[in-house]
Amino acid sequence: MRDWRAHVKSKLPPLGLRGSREADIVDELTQELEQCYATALARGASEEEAVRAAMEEVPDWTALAGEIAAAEAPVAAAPERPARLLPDLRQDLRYGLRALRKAPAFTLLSALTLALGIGATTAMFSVVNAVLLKPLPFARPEALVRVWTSWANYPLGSVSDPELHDWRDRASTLAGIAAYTQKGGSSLTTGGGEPETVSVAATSANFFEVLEVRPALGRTFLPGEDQPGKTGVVVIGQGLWRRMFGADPGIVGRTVSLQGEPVTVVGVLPAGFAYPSAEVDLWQPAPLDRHQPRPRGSHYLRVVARIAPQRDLREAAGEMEVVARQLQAENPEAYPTGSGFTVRLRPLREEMLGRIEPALLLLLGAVGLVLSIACANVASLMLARGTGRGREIAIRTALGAGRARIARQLLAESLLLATAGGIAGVLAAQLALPVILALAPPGLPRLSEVRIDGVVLVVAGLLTALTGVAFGLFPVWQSARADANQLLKSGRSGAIGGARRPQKMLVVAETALAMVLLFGAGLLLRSFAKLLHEEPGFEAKQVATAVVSLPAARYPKHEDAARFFERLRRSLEESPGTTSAAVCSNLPLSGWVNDNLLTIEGYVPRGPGDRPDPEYREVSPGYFRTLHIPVLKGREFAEQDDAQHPPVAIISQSLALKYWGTEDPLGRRIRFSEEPGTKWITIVGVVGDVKQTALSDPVLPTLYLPHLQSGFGFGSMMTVLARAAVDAHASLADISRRVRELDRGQAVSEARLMEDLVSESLSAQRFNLRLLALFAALAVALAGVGTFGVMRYIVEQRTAEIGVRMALGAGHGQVLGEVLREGLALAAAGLALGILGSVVLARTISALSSLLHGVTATDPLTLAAVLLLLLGVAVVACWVPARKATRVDPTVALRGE
Amino acid sequence: MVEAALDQQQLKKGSAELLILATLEDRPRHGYDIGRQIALRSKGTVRFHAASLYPLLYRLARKGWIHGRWLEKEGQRRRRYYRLTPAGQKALEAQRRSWQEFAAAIARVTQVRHA
Repeated sequence: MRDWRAHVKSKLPPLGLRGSREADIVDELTQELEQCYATALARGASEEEAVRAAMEEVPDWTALAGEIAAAEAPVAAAPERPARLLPDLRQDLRYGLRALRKAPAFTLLSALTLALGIGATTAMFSVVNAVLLKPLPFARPEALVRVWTSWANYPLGSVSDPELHDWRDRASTLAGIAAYTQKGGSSLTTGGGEPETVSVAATSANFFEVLEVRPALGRTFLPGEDQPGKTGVVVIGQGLWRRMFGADPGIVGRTVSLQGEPVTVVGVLPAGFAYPSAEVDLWQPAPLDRHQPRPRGSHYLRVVARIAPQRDLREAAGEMEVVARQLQAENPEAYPTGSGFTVRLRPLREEMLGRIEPALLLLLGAVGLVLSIACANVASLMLARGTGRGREIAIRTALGAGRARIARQLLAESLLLATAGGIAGVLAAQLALPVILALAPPGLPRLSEVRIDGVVLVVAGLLTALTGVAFGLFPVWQSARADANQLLKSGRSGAIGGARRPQKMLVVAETALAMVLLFGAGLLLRSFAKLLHEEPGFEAKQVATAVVSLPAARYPKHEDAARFFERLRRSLEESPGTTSAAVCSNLPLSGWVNDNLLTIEGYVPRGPGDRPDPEYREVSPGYFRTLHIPVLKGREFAEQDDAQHPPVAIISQSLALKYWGTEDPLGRRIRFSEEPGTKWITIVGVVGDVKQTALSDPVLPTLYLPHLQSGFGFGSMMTVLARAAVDAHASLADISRRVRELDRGQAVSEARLMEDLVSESLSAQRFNLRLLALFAALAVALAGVGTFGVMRYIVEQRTAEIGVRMALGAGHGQVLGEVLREGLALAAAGLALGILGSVVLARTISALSSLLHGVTATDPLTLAAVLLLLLGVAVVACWVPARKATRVDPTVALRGE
Repeated sequence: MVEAALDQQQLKKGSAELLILATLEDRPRHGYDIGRQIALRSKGTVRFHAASLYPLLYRLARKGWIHGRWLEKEGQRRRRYYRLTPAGQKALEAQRRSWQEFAAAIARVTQVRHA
């Protein structure tokens, strides 16, 4: 018994009828054929004859479908009524679904391509959404500003205690001015447990009031708790509360030990509060003694303020400028003419996000290009498929289906495809997000908030609809151009004439987009390569580092801390696993910078802003040896460079060149204040330049002082360095062990290899590069596949023509060359457009150049490499179809016609 | 089977609706049965392929002259039976009348000629 139903279903083209009508017709026709077949058998016909008899009942299924559609059509193709929009839509969707099911390979390939594009875009958008688009987690965040001192050499400088007090007294446009510093690792002990290193921010008492943050538990700081004798309270973050206190609801009022001092936990902050940074676990009041402030020149505070209601940034900036002039007039020694002193306000959002915004937006743009290429690919797949459906569409047009109806039908199909791609894309994004987040640089704020939420889903939905329409319009356009009459007459499956043109345009567009992306990725790659070859000025290999922060309770005086670090250094020097060891106030590339105004004996500043203001570091003996920083002149610091001996300094080569030029700086003297009685410091050495801030930054002229002689209060928190003889990881452990040997209750923090620190300093660039390279690879792959598909289609379309020509004597080489030429002409057009696009983008997107290092945004070498690569891809994509063309058998090709 | 001198196709086209309506006059029938009745009554002169019969049925149904309904008789599978509607009955009578007039006219013309 044959399955006549399957036969009917496979033969009868979709009729596009509503409801169960189509199924009814299939049923009826099935029964008819069954009956014919059974009757023939009963008459004594053979199986084969019976089948043939049944088959003869319907000689042309397409014609039958046309007849049925005509019979079923509303009488004389009445104009469509809007009231039927919904049922029609349902019908369109059902019809679309069936059409897609009938072409599983096409459907799968298209949906996957779209899933790639939509998935990548959704993932990237969810990052941008969380990091850039969501409002900062403070009340009325737009009124928050950072306030900086600004100097000729330092456009954004820290603030001193007296400045903070003065600003608070005088500014009427700022409703509240809060200050804070980040202290790095401190050891926290709870009731006899092991000490844990926590990250601490010290803040003014009004810090949370200015940010308008309400605690989840307990309270924040009370006014006056930043004054001497009242600072023994702390507020903790949700993370620490859960990690160390098991989310104990009775935590408020508990006493813990911070750096050996008892403090009382008075409150727990709400989840998501992460200011000044996500790393901070614990907030304590900064001692900001109103009556005995630190010197005006001691700039160490960061300041955040809230603009008063009804006031705006411009008014506030104007007022602070006036305040700056007043302060300068009142304190000429602190703000000498030529220091360029003023006060600058920057919106908090810009401070937090300004640096990463361009890179993220660029990546979002890049991923948008990938999505465009995916759309182009699916569009050209649909076009190629449309050729097989020309006749079906023509029948429906001939039967009065109406252009609009056909267009809607095709769009419904595209939207279905896009929806499948969109759903798969969102799932893919969900899977890709952890990978993107793992690659992300540590400084990226609000990373923990990145997730696929309602907003992201809505955007993904819009993207899906948009892509569906974008690639769906091509077949609609194609169908609108089709001449139904001609198609119906032609007996062939019905290729639509001229359809090659839009596909060629798609290949050109795809190639151009891929070119732009690949060029961008190439520029980042070249920048990164240049950064990696950038000489940091020291040798990071084999160096282990850790930060040790000594509690003021047990090391009240600078000398106590200095003695501890000197003992630690010697202990490490004696360690068999170590070749040399040192301590320093802050490591190069660690993100910490300090500067200090300087007076050079005999040097007359040449004008405003010329007062020497070098980078300033305190280091121990062995520092330059440990980091392999070359001593160019004079000597390194020695153990006897302590408080009992004359003060000495070492300067970097660029500092020597800047202020002494060709003269020998050895033996020359400097001091930190013009005031008489300030000690002169003698320069005893010149060392090589070191990248202090970032590999991509220029070197800063640097002044080094021996840590045993300094008086700037770095003493209690220093970084320890040890150069390992063999194993740097062993040295890391060695540092912790020796710290504990000297002081049992002392923990180390930020223990890491110097190499990792250097590598981490490039993490932002690496993140940008990796993502852009990934997107570019996707783009190139999609463009290659797209070119291949279109070329194969073109060759298929021309099979007959090629067959004729080969029959007339055209050689293989000739055919091969011709197809290759046709494909490469498209690629060349795309590349030319791509070059144009790249240059225009490079000129218009200034953000690009801020991401580059050592290459211009129109780097010809990168351009050449990218062109070659894409040409190679195009050759491969054209080669296979071209080869196929040469294998055309003239007789077969002609018979097909 | 008689080899008609006239173009069978053209004749069939003009009379197909009438033929179908006529088979349904005495009782409802399913599609296969309609085709079989026409073949039987015409002694095989007129035969409809499924490919032409069904679109005709659907056209008649769309015009409201016949009405199709799925029926399940005991021991048989369900089939779609068509019956004449009142409008179909009127149409049948009208077509039959004009066909008879036409046939009579043809007969008169041809007889006169042969006379």
